[in-house]
Amino acid sequence: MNGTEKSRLKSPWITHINTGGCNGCDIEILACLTPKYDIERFGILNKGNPKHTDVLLVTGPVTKKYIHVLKNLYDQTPGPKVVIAVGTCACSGGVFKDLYNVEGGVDQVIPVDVYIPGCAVKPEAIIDGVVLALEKLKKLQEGTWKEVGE
Amino acid sequence: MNTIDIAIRILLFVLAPAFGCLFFGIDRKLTARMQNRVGPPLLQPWYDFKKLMGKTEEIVNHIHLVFAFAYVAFIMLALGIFLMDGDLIVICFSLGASQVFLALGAFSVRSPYSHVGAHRHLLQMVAVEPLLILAAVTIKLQTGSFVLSDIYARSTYPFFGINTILLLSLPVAFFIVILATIVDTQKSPFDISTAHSEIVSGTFVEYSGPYLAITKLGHWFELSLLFAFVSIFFSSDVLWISIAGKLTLDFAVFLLILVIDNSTARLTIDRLVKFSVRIGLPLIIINIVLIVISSMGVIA
Repeated sequence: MNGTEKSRLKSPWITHINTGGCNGCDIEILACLTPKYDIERFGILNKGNPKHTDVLLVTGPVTKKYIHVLKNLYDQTPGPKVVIAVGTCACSGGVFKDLYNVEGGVDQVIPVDVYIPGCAVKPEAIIDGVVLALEKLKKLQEGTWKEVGE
Repeated sequence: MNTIDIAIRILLFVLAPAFGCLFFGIDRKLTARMQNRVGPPLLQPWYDFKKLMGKTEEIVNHIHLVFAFAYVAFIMLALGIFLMDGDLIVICFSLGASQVFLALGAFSVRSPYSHVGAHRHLLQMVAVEPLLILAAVTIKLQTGSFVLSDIYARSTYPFFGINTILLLSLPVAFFIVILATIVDTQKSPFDISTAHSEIVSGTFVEYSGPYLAITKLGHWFELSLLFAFVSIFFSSDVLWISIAGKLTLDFAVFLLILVIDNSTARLTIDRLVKFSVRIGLPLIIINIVLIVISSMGVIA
């Protein structure tokens, strides 16, 4: 692992995107930034700008109106990037699954690397999820990651 | 200047971004400690830089990048002139030119956030650049020269046998330089043009990957230049007193900026302009008038 790859694991900048959820998970994400959880100690910064982002934290079920926005944000994020579905709604659509205005989970629209279930998710779970996503990034860099079923 | 002298200057130039990087590292760590957090490692800005260099390139348009490089180039030019003991006015204008390029770069893309940031950046320049140049003028009036080597040689102000402390004779100019440092390093209450979460990151919003890293490098150089500017205010004919004094002064200003940053909220851009016009400008004009009067021998 060279310097750049090591730096990637030490400085994951996040952007959180709400695709039409109830805002519960967003509040838990922001709770991670508070002194109690202090995710900045892992070098994580909340950028709010896809062009500066490495980790996309997506919350909420994807509504039909939001599909092109989410795709656009994903495309604007320079690689290497990881996507984390935060909360039950983002993982599968949750209670909103099969609603007439809802497409479903985030993985229906963009590829998702890590799923964090919970309604709402605990801040500890979000931190765990980001660390897991970094683990995946590391293995992708080393070329040892195998998708399930490969 | 002999060879060793030039070698030291070149070394300082090369170390300048490292100093800037370390400044932001200490800044983030101390800010975290002040907020009762653990905070990132000291070398966090370096990790950010390395990571950004390794990201894929996404280019909005080419002129955008040209302006980013021009920004860095003019900052490096200003620092180079400073380290070769050049002209203060040229340094101020070179710094100003770099800021203009940053604003032009932000104007060259279509993002409204970028445009708002650029407008604010230009207004911020209008507020601060004249003050910085007037501060240079007060230094000139006090020492008789804009050229740094002459300033070091001529700034005589007797104080406990140490010959040259500009800080005591020009406290107002020093205050103005601190103000300029706060504004140009984008610290609260004047982090207006790159206001995070308000206009995302303003002027830098469309830069991504390696090009964002380049602007960060420019920012590190800029910081070194501003702290070099602060260090003009202490110089002595004894070398070790000079170096120790400069470092102490820089460190004191650094801590002051951090405390101000953490204890104030962001102001609006017109408050900065009003502050500069109503407080900064009168103060420095009074200082200039006092120097002129005292040099005519009316008082003192």
